[in-house]
Amino acid sequence: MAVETESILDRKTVIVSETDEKGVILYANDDFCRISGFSKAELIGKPHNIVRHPDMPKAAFASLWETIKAGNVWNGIVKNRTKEGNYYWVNATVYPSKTPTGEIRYFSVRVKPTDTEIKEAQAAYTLM
Amino acid sequence: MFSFSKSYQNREEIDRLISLMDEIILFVKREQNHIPLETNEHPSSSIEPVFQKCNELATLLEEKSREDLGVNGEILLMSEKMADGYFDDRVHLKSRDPHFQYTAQSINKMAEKIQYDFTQIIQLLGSYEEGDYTGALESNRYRGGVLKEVMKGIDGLRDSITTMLRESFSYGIALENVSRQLDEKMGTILKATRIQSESLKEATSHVTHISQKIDENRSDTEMMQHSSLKVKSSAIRGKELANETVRAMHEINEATSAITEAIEVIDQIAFQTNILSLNAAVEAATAGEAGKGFAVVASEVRNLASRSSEAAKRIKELVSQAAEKTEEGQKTSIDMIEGYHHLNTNIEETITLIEKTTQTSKKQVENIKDLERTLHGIQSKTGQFVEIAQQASHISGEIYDISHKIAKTLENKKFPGKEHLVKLSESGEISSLEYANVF
Repeated sequence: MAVETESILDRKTVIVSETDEKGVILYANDDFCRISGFSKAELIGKPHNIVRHPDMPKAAFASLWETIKAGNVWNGIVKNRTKEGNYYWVNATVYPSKTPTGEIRYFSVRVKPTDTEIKEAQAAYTLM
Repeated sequence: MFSFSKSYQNREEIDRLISLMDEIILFVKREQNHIPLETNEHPSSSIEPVFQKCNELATLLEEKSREDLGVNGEILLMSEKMADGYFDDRVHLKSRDPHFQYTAQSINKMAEKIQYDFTQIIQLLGSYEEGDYTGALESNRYRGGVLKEVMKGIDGLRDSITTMLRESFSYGIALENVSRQLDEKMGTILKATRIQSESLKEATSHVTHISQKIDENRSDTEMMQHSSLKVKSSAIRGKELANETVRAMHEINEATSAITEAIEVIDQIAFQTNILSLNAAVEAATAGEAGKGFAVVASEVRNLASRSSEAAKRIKELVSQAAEKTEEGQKTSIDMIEGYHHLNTNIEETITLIEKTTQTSKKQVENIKDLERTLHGIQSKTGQFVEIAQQASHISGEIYDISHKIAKTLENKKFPGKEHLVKLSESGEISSLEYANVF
């Protein structure tokens, strides 16, 4: 079994993506592609869980969906999987927003998490 | 003791306040994503309001940062979309920072305007593609720069296409007109050429017929010439015979005179014999009986003399008649000679004429043969000409068809100034390339 290595974000990295109501990716920015290893063509039209890491507990996403569907902003530390099977940690903030035609869309902005945040999250997810 | 404990308490609170400030600084420096709030363990402390303010500031900063992160994220994604060619996205999230909000609105306006203008351009290009060049862009919506240049460029393209269409339209109509005329004229030429060819064929066959007739005439005249020579020799022979007749008549005449003289002698002899017989009779009568026999002889002699005289008389009459006839014959022969002389002269003249005619006929035959050859040459040329005229007529028909198609194609196009051109064409003012050349 190959050993997973961690990609570490720098402070300048801002990963942005938008999905529709069901979590299908509508658009992704260049940083998303650079970090995840997927091209825009590979990401657009796919469900956002294309970058979901198996270590992430389902409950974490349940809380995310519950929050944003209620129209609130969700913030959390998430472990994501790259195309090559490696992983990277992000501090994710998800905003409920709207498309120019008035449909609901979700907007996710990910920045570099602190070491403390990663440790706390790891600890919490192990328990879940 | 109180003061010590007070000062210690203050020291501890200040440390915690400084720690909170440090957290805020780290957050502002983006070295952490969250500010853990501090709670004062001594709510009655005089520093308490400072704690409260610091916590309020931390909360405010975190809220603002979260809002700005969202707006920033939308702007960021929108910018990347625009770089990818999509201008239909807008910043939807709001920031409480009026400056940042203004930035977001400006970006939205910019995207809106570019989206609108590109949609206009797309629609316009779509209608251009369908052949409608009547619409134009509002290039004055931009103060300058590449977008203004793009719009001006499209306008310029439209202008040049419109000019081209106006020219093509006018030329098309003129060409259609001229080629129709050409086709009609070619039709007329073809018809005329065919008629000409037919007439020429007829003329040639007439000439051939005439040529044959003239050839026949020529051989007739040749035969005539031949016959006239025969007539001439016959006439010469006739004249000779007439001459001989005259000579023979003359000899007959001389012979007749000789006969007349001979008859005179016979007549005198008869007369003397009669007288002698009379004398004998007288003598016999005198002699009596003895003379009786002699008297019979004398009477018989007298009878013979009388019959001789009568015969001579009769011969004389006949000879006289013969002489008369001979004279008539001689006269007639002389007339004949005269006649032959005239005949000969006439025959000579006739022969000369026939010779002339023969020569002329020969020349005529040569000339008519030449004419026939020339006509045959012209006929074959005319045949080629008919063929060429046919081809030319076919080509002119094709040209007309093509020009008609061109005109039809251009009729479907819309462009400024077309109505004017249509009016001009309907009133027949665009009918020649000279007019179309004005453009």
